[in-house]
Parts: sequence; structure tokens; C-alpha cells
Amino acid sequence: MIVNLIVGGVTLLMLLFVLVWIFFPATRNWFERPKHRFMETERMMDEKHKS
Amino acid sequence: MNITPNESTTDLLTPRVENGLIRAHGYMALVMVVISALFGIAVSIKFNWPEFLGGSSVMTWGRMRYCHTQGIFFGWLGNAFLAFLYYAVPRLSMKPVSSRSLGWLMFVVWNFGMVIPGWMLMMHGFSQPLEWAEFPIIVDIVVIACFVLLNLQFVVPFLRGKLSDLYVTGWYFLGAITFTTLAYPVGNLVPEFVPGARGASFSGLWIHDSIGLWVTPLAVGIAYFVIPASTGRPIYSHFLSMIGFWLLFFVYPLNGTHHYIFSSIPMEAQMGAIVASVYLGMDVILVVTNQLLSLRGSTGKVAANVALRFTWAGIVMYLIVSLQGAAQALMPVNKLVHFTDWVIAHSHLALLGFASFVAIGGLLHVWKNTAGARYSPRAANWSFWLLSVGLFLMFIDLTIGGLVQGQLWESSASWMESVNASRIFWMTRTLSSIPILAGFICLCLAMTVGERVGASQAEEPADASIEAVNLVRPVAVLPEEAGKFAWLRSAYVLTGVAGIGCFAMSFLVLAVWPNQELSRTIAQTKPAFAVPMTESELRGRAIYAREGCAYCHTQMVRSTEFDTRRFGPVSRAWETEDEYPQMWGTRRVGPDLARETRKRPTDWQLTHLYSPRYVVPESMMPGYSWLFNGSPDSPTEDALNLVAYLESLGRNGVLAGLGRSRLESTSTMELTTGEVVAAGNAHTGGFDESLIPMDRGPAPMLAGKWSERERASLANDGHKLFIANCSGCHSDCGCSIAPGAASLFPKPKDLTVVRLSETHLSDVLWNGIEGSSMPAWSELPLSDLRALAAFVNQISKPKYETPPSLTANELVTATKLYSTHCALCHGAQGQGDGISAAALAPRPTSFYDELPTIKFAAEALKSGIPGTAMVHWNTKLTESEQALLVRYLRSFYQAAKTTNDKLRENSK
Repeated sequence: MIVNLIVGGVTLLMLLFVLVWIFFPATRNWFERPKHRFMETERMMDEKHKS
Repeated sequence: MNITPNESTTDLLTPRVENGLIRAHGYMALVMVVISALFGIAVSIKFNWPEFLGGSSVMTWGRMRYCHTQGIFFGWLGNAFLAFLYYAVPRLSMKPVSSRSLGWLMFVVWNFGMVIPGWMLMMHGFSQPLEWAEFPIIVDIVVIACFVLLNLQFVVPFLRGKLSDLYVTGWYFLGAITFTTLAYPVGNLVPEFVPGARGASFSGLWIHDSIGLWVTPLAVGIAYFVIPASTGRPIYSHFLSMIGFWLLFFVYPLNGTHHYIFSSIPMEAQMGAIVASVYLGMDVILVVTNQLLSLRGSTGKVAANVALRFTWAGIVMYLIVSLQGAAQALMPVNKLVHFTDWVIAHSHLALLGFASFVAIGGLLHVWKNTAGARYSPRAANWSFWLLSVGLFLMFIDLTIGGLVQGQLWESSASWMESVNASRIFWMTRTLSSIPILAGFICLCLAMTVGERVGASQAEEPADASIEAVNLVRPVAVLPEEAGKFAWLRSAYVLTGVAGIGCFAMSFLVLAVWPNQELSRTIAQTKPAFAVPMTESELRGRAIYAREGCAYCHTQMVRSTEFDTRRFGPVSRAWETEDEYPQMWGTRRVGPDLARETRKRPTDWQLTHLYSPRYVVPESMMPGYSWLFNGSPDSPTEDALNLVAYLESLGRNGVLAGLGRSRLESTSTMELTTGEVVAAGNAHTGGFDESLIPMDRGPAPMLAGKWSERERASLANDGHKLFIANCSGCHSDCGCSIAPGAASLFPKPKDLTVVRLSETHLSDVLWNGIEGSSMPAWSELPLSDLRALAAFVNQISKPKYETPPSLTANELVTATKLYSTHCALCHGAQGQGDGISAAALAPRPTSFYDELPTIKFAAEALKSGIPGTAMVHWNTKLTESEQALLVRYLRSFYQAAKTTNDKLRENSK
């Protein structure tokens, strides 16, 4: 069944990301960086509004 | 470009935000949600009072239902999402949106070129009978143009920035806009050009993609934005959020076919959709867990900040609705709840509970941060509680209602029993709309009254506790690390490309491939003698589509035992091959119509269309009186066309002998056994309907040895059943003076002037009368049928006296007259089995089983019986001959074989 192949393929792809996250701890900062950038941007925009 | 400080701000660090467009879309969203909710409430009221706003084609149930869904989808959620996009995209991409002028152009086109004209067109009968795709093609083109503009306006800023650093909300927004641009034309235009089951495999995808690729990603993206922005803390894990994002976009497009489980779409595609649906449920657990973990320790903020509370409630409902969706894709659950109000509860939980709550959360968050907007936390708080109470009531009510309907449909209960059982749930649903409407009105107040937001944002108590600077933890990637993992920068982009590839694959797997399979199956199984629809039937089909009939009546007998028992042979793929687009439907308020051909006579169909309660006293179907010139026997051409279409449904199935034990088509004769089996399995999902006994068997004798007391009690019950089921045609008194009787040919029998033998009465109740509007009532419980028979006996019995016997001379004359004029149809012994009888429908009266009063028989002889083969004899027989014949034919009646009285006499 082709759908099973797609679902399996997607799972493997995501598993690949998880393996990278587990075995290369240094990448974790990179993975998480956007959320901190987002907070920084929000703070900047808020300050802009307040000023 | 004129930029006023109040409208927008620009400098090198922070991008310009189009506050004017935010406010415009926000206010328009409020207008649209109230109008769309009113459409929904009107539709809901019509379930309880079908004639509410009746008599007008514009305000009919089906057309308003179209307006409700498209209004919520594009008018309310579309505008709310756009308002949020104008607020969030500059913050996420650190670039302004492409053009303010483009924004205003889009605002005008979205609302005044798409939603409002779409409503007007649908209310005037220009629409498409496909779930979530009701706008007519001309509006579809405007929608597609809008989505192209959306890409220009919102996708381009992201592409101008660095995608590798993009926050998860940006990814969701990118995905929603690009994927919906691709999915919309496929789901909305293709079914217009690809017919029947083949088109259904495309439209099924859009039913789900509309939610999965537009509503869901935007709402989830908003939640990922509002949660950290309101709590002042970053989300729990950006890594998990991206895993959830990719899984959603990879798997969601594979879900759509789960709307057509047990259909003629190849079973492999159905199974694939089920697998993907369950998998998606697991993904949603991941997404919502990550979001709820992001809220850990923020209980106070959730309680105090209404925007955050709406968002929190929305994502909790996202989890519930997704797990519910995964469960209802499973065959055992789907078999029970599909087409019931359970699905309506599910869709309201998705669109009102999840999407609208998060959209409101997003809007309120934007509002209190947008200069010039007014914001009232108090009104917002009222809105939250009113909407929550209304939604909870509606969801619980319709879920239980759906389960009740499913159980009743699975049983042998009559269809009307499920309608009657649903009434309390429909009424409760209507009541639940009161707090919901009040909640939306409070939302309008929250965003239009209160303190005006100035240069500084409106602050709620919870906002004061946010110490943004301390909570933000900037992370710098060291240069060597950046070089080492440079490949990861492009990993997301590559995954994005893979996502689009997967999206394309989903269409190949669930639409294009099933299409090819179906083409082969149809070529193998479609009989060469299948009759195409006539011009009249095609015009009738267009009326069926524009009135939204497909939203209450499915045209798909599923390959389940109880569908087959109730509606007839399973629908085959080839049977809807002429249908552009297919109208399989997604819900059953009324019964399935796929096998409607030959079920009812034309006059019944016309009377039923004019006023359903004329012939089905407890019906809740709206009347379509504007298709008539004032009365059911004066139909317009539209009414005749519509009835012609209804009578054509399933005709080819009958011609092909479906339901009998034989091969489906002549063309299969040339196939090998294996090919025939494969073709059969392909379109019925391996379901073997021949194993289901379809024969109701002979009519059971409905009379018994009752005591007088029992007989009176039975007749009393029978009277109530008679009023509920029969009075539309026969009147409460059984004397057939009801309005519906006037337009039926032959007229319903006046039960006070004929006496039916017990055998004949049992047969008529069990099997109906072919060629008349009298349906078979075998679906009623036997006890009900016995009670009905007792009541009918009671109302006819007192009218009779023992007929006086004929003299010898009279007998000779009468026998001669009868043999000459009557025996051809009524048979030599008056048993209705003359030479011509077999060709007549209804069959000639059997005087052996039916004793008329002298007056009625004389009138029938004199004037004939319109709608039957009985002509008037006034000019051919003298009055004395007619009178003699009346006495003669009454002598055929075999009272002895009918009554318990006789049996009782014998026993004495």
C-alpha cells in the first residue's frame, strides 16, 4: 500500500531529525534558536510600540 | 506611499506593520461571523420548524446551509486569519508585507468580490453541491486569484528572510498559504470535470484539506505565536514543534478519502486514508503536548488573559477533535456514526471550538497590541464563557444525537423513528445557538468598545507579570558549530521541498491512482445498456444541486449490512459516471436516494415536494412551494424536472439487475473469473451483499384472536400510529380528505367506505400498493402493524350490512354484464386477476378481498377512479345495470376468511 510507504517514509525522515538531535547535542541550540529569536523580536516590537 | 505614525511604523530594525489592514480585516471578521452565525441559526431553526422563512427560494434550507459554511470558512475565519497574518508576518520574517496597496486590493476582493457575491449567488441558486466547496466556479476563480495574491503578500517576505531561522509559526503560515493555493483548484474545480466516484476521490481530499491545510495550520501557528507572546516564555521545544509541523503537512493530505469509507472508491485508498488519519491523531498529541508544556506554570496567566485562555481552550479542543476524527475514520466507528449528527458535532468542535477559539485568541492578542483599536477585556471574558457554554452544549448534544441516529439506522426501526428521536437534539442544538450568538456579539463589543489602544498596548492584569527581557534567552551558535552543522540550515528547506513532493504524492495516491482504478472498474462493469440522463433529468439534477438536497440526502448506499437492508443494493462506481459533480453527500437527515427509482409515483413526489407533511405527517423536510403554481397538482417545469431526476436515481441499477443474484453487466462475460472478482471487490470493498437476505418474505397475518378489550386497545394505539404515519394522505379519520390526497392519483383509499379482508389488509400494509402512493410499511414493528390493522378494521367495519342476495334472474343478468365488462381486469371470480391485470398498476380491485359500500361502488362505476385503469361506465351501462353490478360484485367478498368473529362462531 503506497500510503503505508509514505507514512513510513515520513516517520523515517522525522526519526532522522530525532537521531540528529540525540547524537549531536550541539545541534539542539540550532533547533531551538528560532523560538528565542521570536521572543527577542516580540520584545523589540513591543518596545517599539511603547516608545 | 503615505505612512502616518498612527497607522504604521518603519525603521531599520523593525518592519512596518499595516495596522489599518489589521483593523479592517478584524472588523470585517466580526461582521462576517455574526452574519454566518445567523445563517447557521436559521438553518438550525428549520430543523424544528421546517416552514420557518419558508415559501422563498432564497431563504431555503439548502442555500442558507451553503452560506453558513462558506461564510464561516472565508468570511469569518478568512478575515480573522488575514488580520493576524498582517500582524504576525512582519514580526516573523522581519520584513514588511509586500504591499499595502495590494493588501487593500485583497481586502476588497476577498470580501466584496468573493464572500458577499458568493453568498448572493448561492442564495439565488448558483452553487456547487460539494462540502466546503459550495461557491460557484466563478467565485472559485476569485478565490484562486486571492490565494495567488496571498502568496505575493505573505510568502514573499518569508522568502526574503532566512528560512533556516524561521519560527514555527512562520512555517505553518507558509505551509497553509502555499498548500491551500495548490489544493483549492483540485478540490473545487476537478469534480466539475471528473464525474461520479472518480470526482469524489478529488472532492473528498478537499473536504479535509480545507480544514487540514488552511484552518488547522493557521490556527496552530497562531497558538504557537500567542502562547509565548502572552506568557513571555518561549515554547517548550521548537524542535518538537517542527517535527509536528512536518508530520502534519506530510500526512494531512492523505486523510480526505476517509469521508468515503465503504464507498466504491478503491478499498486500498480508503485504507490508506484510515492509516493516515490515525497517524495524524498521534501527531496532534505531539503538537498539543508541546503547546501545553509551553503553558506549564502559566495557569494564572491563562485564567487572567482572555486571549491566552481562548487559545488554550482552542488547542485542548484541537486535541479532542483530532482524536475523535482519528477514531471515526476507523471502520467500526465510521459504520455507526458516519452521516449522523455526530459528524456535525465533530465539525463544529473543529471550526467553532478549535479554529474559532484560537482565531479569537489571536484576534484579541492582536487587538490589544494594535494602535487605534478599542479593546474591552470584560466583554472578551463574557464572550469566552458564552461561547464555551454554547459550544459544549452543542457538541455533547449532537454527539449523543448522532449515536442515537446511528443505532436506530443500524436497527430495523423506520426512518421516521430516527427523525423523531432526533427532534430533542435538534431543539437543544438550536437553544445552544443562543449563547453562541451572544458570545460572538460580546466579541464584537470586546473589539469595538472599551479603551482605545494607544501607543502603549492595552494591558490586562496578567500582562503586568511578564518580564520579557529577563525571560528571553538569546542563543548564539558558535562560528565553528555553525560551520559544522551548516547542512542543517538547508535541511528545513529540503524538508519543505519534500513536503510539497509529498503533497503532490497524496494526490497521486488518493485521487489520481484511484481515478485510474475506477476508470478500469467502470469500463469493466458498466452495462452497455445503461441509460444516460435525459435533458429534463439533467435540469432536475441542477435544481437538486442548487437547493442543497445533497446535504440531507446521500446518494451512496454504503457496503454495510444495514445500508443494504434499508436502501437496497450497494452503489456501484459506474452508476454515477454521468454525474458532474457527484452528489454522494456527507450527511443523512432524510433517507438515501440512490435507489429512488420506482419507489414512489410521480404524484407522490410532487405532493411531497410541495409540502412534505401532506404525505409524511411527521416530516421535517422544508417544502419547495415556489416550484409550483399554488398547488401540488400544478407543478412548474422545474418541479417536473426535479421529480424526473429523482425518479432516474438508481434506474440503471435496476436495469442491470442489481440486487439479484446475477452478474452485474454483460461486459463481464468476457472477463476471467479472477477479473470479475477483482472488479467486484474494487467497487464494493470486498463486501458481499448477496449474503444479505433482501426478501421481506410474505406479509404476516396482522389479525389475531383478540378479545374485544384487546381489540379496542389495539385500535386505540393504531389510531395514534395512523395519525403519525398515515393521516397525511388518509386524514385522521381515514376518510382521505387531507390536502395531500387531492394531488395523488389514484386518491388514497377512503377507508371508511371499504372493508379489506384481513389477508388483503396485511398484504397492503406489508408491501404497499404498486402504482399508487401507498408505500410498504414493513419497516414498522409487527406490533405497530397489528395496531394499525385493528384501527383500519374499526373505522370501516360499522359501515356494512349483510348484502341482500340476488334473484336468479338478476344473477344471470349480472353475471353476463360482469363477464362482458369487468372480468377482463377483475377476473371471473372478482379476484382482481383478469387477463389484463398483470399489466396494470395499481392492480384491479379484488372484490374477493375488498368490500365497498354500495354508495362508493356505485360512484366508482359511474365516474371511474382517476389514476387507475378503472374508467367511468356512466355512458355504457344504464343506472339499473350499474346498480345490479354493484350488488353482484359485493357478493364476491369472502367474509368468512377474514374475521376472528367467524372463527369464534365456529369454536362455539
